[in-house]
Amino acid sequence: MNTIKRCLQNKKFVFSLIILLPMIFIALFGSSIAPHDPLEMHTTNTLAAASVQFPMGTDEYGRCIFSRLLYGIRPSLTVSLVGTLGAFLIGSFCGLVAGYIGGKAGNAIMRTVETILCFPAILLAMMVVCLFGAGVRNLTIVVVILYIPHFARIANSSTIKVKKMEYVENDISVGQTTPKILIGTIFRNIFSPLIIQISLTISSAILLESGLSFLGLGVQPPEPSWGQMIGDAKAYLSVNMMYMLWPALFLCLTILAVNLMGDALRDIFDPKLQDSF
Amino acid sequence: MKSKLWVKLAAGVLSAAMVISMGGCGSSTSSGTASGAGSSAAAANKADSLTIGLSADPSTLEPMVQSGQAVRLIKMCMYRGLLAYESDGSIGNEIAESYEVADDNVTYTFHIRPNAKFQDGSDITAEDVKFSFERQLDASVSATFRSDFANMLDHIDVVDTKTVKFVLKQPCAPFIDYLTLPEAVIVSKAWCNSHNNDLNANPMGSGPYTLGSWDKGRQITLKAFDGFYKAGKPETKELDFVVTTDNTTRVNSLKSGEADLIDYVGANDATALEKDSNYTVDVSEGPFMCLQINCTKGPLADPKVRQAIAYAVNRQGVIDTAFMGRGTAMYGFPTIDGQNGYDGKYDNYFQYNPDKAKELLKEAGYANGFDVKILSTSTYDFHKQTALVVQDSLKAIGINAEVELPDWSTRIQRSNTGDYDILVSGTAGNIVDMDWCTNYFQSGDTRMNSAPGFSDATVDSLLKQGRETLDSTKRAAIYDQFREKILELSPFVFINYREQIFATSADVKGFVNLPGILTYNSGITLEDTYKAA
Repeated sequence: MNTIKRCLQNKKFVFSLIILLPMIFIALFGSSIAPHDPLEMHTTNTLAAASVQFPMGTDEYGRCIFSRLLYGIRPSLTVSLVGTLGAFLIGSFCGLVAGYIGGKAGNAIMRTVETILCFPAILLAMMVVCLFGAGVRNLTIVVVILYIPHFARIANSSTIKVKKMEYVENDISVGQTTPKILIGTIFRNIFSPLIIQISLTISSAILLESGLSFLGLGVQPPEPSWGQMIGDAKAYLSVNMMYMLWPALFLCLTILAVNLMGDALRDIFDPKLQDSF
Repeated sequence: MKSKLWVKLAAGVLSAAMVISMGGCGSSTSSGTASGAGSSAAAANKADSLTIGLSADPSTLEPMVQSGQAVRLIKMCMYRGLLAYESDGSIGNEIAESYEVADDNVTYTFHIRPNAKFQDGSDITAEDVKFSFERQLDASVSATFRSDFANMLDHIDVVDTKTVKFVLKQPCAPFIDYLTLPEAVIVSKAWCNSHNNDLNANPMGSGPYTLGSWDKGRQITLKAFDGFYKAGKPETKELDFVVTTDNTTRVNSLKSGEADLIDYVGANDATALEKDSNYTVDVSEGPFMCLQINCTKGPLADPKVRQAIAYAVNRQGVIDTAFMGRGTAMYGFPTIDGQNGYDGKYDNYFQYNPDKAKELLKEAGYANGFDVKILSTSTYDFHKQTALVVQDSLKAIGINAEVELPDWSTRIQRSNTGDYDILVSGTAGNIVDMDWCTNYFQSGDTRMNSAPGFSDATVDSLLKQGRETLDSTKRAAIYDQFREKILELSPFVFINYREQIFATSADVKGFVNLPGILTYNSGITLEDTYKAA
């Protein structure tokens, strides 16, 4: 297909794919590769340097850092992917409907949704955690709530633009039902900017989850998460620096790759470059 | 292109310079200029203020409530009692100038220092002493040692303005020890009556420092009280307690010079600081880590289950993880060497034996284990790490534990009301005499140091006898029986002795980390502490 070919020709896309594919592989098959149980403690061998038995050494409980790294991506990806999906579905729907209806009702919907933008992300997350407890489920809900307005706005503005176009007027004169118009015609045409927002949201969500886990408010011990590992490791920088560097490096690469992917998608789907519309 | 690069470089250097200079501002508040208006010749060499990096923000400044060692540092600056432990471990006079014990062994007469005043200028009188101890018994105050004083005190008589007489219900060997508690403070009757008895909102005591300001969650400033009954004290005019809950940040604040003294230094940081001659590290091994078990919750109500936990806990693992190998495992009952004649008889009551633990669980009917929650805190790393090692130990015998890690204030609120299944606790026993066990193991209302729901008639009787017997040989025998009974019933699972570590910069003098379990009373030496300017 034309699109796929264009994707593969884009250098940023390929580079980020090269990083993301192993990450996805780790997320799916990490449990088979990991040499040890990430929760298994070897308290007689704490803060050990890298060895054959422990490829990245051990943490303060004597747990294998490499194994914890492999498992640690899961909470980040779960929160970000599921959260983004939820925000995408709900936000796009709200924006689409508001844009199509227009007028006062459309305005009302959009302004209501936009009140969420008043909350700084970390603050809202901490509020939810304090009231309802920490953990992956609550964090996912926070991500969904936080990013609904972003998708809603994009869907709304794109819908308003597309609504006025010829083929939509066509559909209406032909007597198409509203849902078919919304989903069939309009949605197909506003999909591109939404795709870009999806990748941006994923990277923000990964950062949010890592930040909260670093503070101790995200994934609760003993289950690993990269942000949490970085938080635990900072007390031992003088003893074993690699304990912090490994999860930091992996986190950095993953977010970089997701952001690059977003950039690449924007390049690919930018209307000015497209042949057909 | 070249000029653009030049501009970028210049911009980079400028911003770096800005960042560095901003980092320098707002740091050290402690290096004040030496005051020339000091009353003694030595004052010219002392800094005006001292900055203390404090590990926890007080949830309350109510002096009769024990809410942790960090808060006690502040409390002992603001409030004093009749007596207190000194830096050499002996009992010294505070508000009381002297006292006598009558031959009946239940009447204690205290003479108050003539120059003892409260911080509002009023004299400390016998009426205030009587009021203070009656306030200990007042349920609305929720004093930590209410049950102990209620048990001991019959009534208090005001003999004259500066003489007060305590009459006990029965002889009590450790009574004087209880008067040295940092919570056994003397407060002003007039002040409490006119301020709704709320000392948290309106603190006023008789200690060497008054409360200057409390910026909640950030800083507490104390100012010297020049009417303090010890002439020439305190040494330093102002103490700034900066709340720095993160362990690494607190140690860094000492290293950068922002803080002159820090508490709760972790084992890994202590080892590094000990090697540096710019810092003094003061270590006392006295507190111990233990699990307080809620004896009302399901399987935990069965002593066999609690014993199983005692066999399952990997004590050496806790020491290696949370304390970097510094500390001693405890397989018996926590006791100071030779305390009340103890000879080590029960030191090996338990061993690390997960198989035996599983057997006991099976006997109790829980061959498939059960679910339980462990309450700890995220504020102190060693508390969190102890909880995780215990969780791992319990997993090995089939008990599925979830660890809860709220901040210290929340954890204290929950532990004071018994809202937990298993609690990770680090404590030191409060008084040097074995009678410290009464506050921990006597049946009654749930309190900070008790295992909720624990109640045993034999234990109560042994504690009562131990307290009322004055003969030391008889007391030693009573406490031996007590230890055996407590280990058998295991409302607490004892894990290890740990170190309590303070660190100061090398030019800070006068602060002493009191030995052994008295480490929690170290706040008393803040009146002697100064920084050579």
